[in-house]
Amino acid sequence: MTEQTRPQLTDALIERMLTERAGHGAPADLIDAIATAVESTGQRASGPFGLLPSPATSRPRRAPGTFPLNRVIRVAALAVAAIVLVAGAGLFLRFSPATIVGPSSAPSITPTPSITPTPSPTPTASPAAGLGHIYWANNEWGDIGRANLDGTGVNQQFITGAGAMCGLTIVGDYIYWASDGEIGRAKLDGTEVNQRFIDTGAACGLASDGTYFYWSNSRRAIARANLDGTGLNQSFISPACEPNAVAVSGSYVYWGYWGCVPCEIGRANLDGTGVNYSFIIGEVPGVRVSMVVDGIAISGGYIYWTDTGSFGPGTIGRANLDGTGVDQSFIGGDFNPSGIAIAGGYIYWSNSGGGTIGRANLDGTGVDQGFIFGASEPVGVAIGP
Amino acid sequence: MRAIADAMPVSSQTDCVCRAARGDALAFERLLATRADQVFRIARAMLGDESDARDATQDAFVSAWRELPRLRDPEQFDAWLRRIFVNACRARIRVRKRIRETRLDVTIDPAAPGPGLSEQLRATDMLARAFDRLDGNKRAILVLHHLDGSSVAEIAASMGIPIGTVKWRLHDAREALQRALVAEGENRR
Repeated sequence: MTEQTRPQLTDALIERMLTERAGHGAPADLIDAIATAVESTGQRASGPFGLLPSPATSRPRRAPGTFPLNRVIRVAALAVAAIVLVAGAGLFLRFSPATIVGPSSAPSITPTPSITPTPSPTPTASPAAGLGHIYWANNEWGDIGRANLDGTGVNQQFITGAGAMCGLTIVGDYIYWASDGEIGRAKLDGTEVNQRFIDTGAACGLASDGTYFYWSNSRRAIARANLDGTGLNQSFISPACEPNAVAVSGSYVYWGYWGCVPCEIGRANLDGTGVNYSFIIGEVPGVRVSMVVDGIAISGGYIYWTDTGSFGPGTIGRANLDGTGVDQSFIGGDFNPSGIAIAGGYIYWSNSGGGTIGRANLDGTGVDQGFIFGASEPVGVAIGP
Repeated sequence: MRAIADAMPVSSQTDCVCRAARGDALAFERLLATRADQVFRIARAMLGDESDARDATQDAFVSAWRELPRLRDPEQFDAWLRRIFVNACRARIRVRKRIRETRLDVTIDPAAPGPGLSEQLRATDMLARAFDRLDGNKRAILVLHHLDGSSVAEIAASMGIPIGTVKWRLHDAREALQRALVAEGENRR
């Protein structure tokens, strides 16, 4: 079986296959059989009614700073792979003709030599020190972590008590987060926590232009509301595919899709007009499946995004703000990158699979996948004072 | 499940769930009747076999009847039932522990535009075989997303995982299906 004869995996093909497997419904006698079985069932659970376990509250909490075994194994495996890769590349370059392109001319794809599983923060000062803080949403714990931009002063539970987390954004003196159908907020010093500031109905990606909030919702749309939660429009923009990450910059709102071939990122004017559902289209070589764009950030004439990758390492992509120059693997070797933010000449992102915050220079060099350790499935990232 | 549930007014559904929880078998039968088709289709898509789907459906509804008194919020009945259901299917897949040859009911429209009938049949057949290589979690998330049309939040509720986790599990499942498709192709060489 060759590439040419193997069917290309698309949403339509998966749906067709599953629809065929599913058939047309239950056989006529099945309901009677179940009813009979139910009638003959003697013992039932006793009341009073118990709690339906919530996805957020039913998860066991792990102590901050500790690693789940599967992540340690993944980090170790990827570190070994990186060493093999680097060693292999060294041998290759040593014995290959001089015309072969070396790593110096391809700075955007960087393996992960800098991973060092040291929970302690980086003690050295950097240009980013003193510029503010980085915040991240610990999805597994329902907490928000915070650290100085130079990686010191890590607090994995700066704000606690949220449910399953998604996007983060900062407006004025407040940090806002999307969690369990609500937008919560707190002051940037961690006080005045309000987990239910706006009832949104399952918000995920979250962004603001200082006048409105924009978020992706469970209705497969981009929603918008005033900063106080009034003027709620759950279908402000309704893409064909399910939106995920949301970002605002200049006069545009951008959104990423999850599981939509071949679209990666859509764009519209802030008033909802000029909708371009496929502003950036991902490459779909051969039988490649769609990506999950989980975070978007805009800075210096570029748009950056994370592809969670899931099974593979995941990547950070970059394109010009006009949608040209798409580079899907601007930074590679990530551990399911999710949120992304830019400040002080650095790109910061959360590695949801590795439990770390990564950092790199804006040109894609200096990649440090383990800039901050000890997070728990970190998702949204935001930079603030 | 959502479409069927929508056909019954929310107040009526809630009333049925409450009465069934108190032991009203007729109320439970009404809940069963309006959901059996959709639930069975999900089971059949996950398991690929009518007999297994029947067993899983029956097991899930009997479990639901037994456990219903524990459900605090009647409005969460559908998410709760779907979780029981997905668990029943996953358990059946674990027990079976072998890859089953899948028979396909041919429902391809020969008049439909696109690839020819034989090519469509070959593609879905190969994909179905690849799908049978996946574990229960991956099958469940693909079925809920692609067949049931569940949103991220609904899948999170059905599988008892955070929203963020749903995203990469779905992506993981699709990658696994892709690899299984490649492996299926290799086997046919």
